[in-house]
Amino acid sequence: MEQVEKAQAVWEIQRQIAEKILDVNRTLSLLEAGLVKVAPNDEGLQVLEDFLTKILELEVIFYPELSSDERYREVLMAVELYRRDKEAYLANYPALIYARYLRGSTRTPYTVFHTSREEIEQFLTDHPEYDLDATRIYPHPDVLIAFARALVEIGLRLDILRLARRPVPVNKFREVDAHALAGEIEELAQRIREL
Amino acid sequence: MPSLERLRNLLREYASSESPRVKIMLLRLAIAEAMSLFPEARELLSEADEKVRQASTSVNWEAFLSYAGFGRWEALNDKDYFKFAGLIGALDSLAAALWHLAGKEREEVPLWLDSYHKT
Repeated sequence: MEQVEKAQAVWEIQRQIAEKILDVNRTLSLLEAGLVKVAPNDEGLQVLEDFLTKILELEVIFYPELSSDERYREVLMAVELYRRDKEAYLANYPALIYARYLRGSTRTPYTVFHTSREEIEQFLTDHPEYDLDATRIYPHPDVLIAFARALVEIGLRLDILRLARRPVPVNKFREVDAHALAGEIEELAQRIREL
Repeated sequence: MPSLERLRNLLREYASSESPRVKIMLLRLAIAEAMSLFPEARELLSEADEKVRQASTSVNWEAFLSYAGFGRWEALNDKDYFKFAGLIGALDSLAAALWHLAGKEREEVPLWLDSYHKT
């Protein structure tokens, strides 16, 4: 793909993300104004679940190489980091990318630090070593933060609604011997301390 | 580039996070960071990462949250409580071992296990 086409693709995805975030913000405003019901009934839940589906579409743009479960955890982690401390989040962001790289990404980790098409185009011209594929874009931290803030609002509401109306799950441990697993982890911890 | 300070930041975040899923992800990130910093420990850390991964996928954390997050901890029977507590304690031990690798003992941050006591 030519550099200009790549820049256009990046720009288009950022535009889509911006639209989605506006959607999120609009819905949050409706929630705050009481125009969308958040009571634990099917109608309110459906509105939120429809909205969550939109957000999950956005996650696919952010993390196309991950499974849906991994994407969910990745976003949760970003949300938690941001919620705790914006500075810590930003300080750790390179580590997140690096960890993703360690987990087996075959591409060079890449973060879009630019918000204008011209800047993106210039960056790609200056850094031809990046094999940038527009479908594997890592978002600007500010974009992810806005997304994360919206997600945590919606996600928390959904969790609360779901858990409040659900009985406690019976199957607490899946196919695992929790005692044995704990013992193995304790032993490894001890061996690491002895290094 | 990986750094000791980044490793410590991840461990601090692990200590202060409230979400089990996020805690486990942060612990795995810290392990990945430690693997880069201490190649001599790579094999052991890789084994630890696999066990943490098993802990993340094998436990129904929604069930855990439904107790711990909604004040129903008391409703959990003793057998299951000690299973959860044992696993959480082991993950805390691993975090403490990473602190040790990072050159200092665990800072005065709350243990995960301290958050959940069945009285």
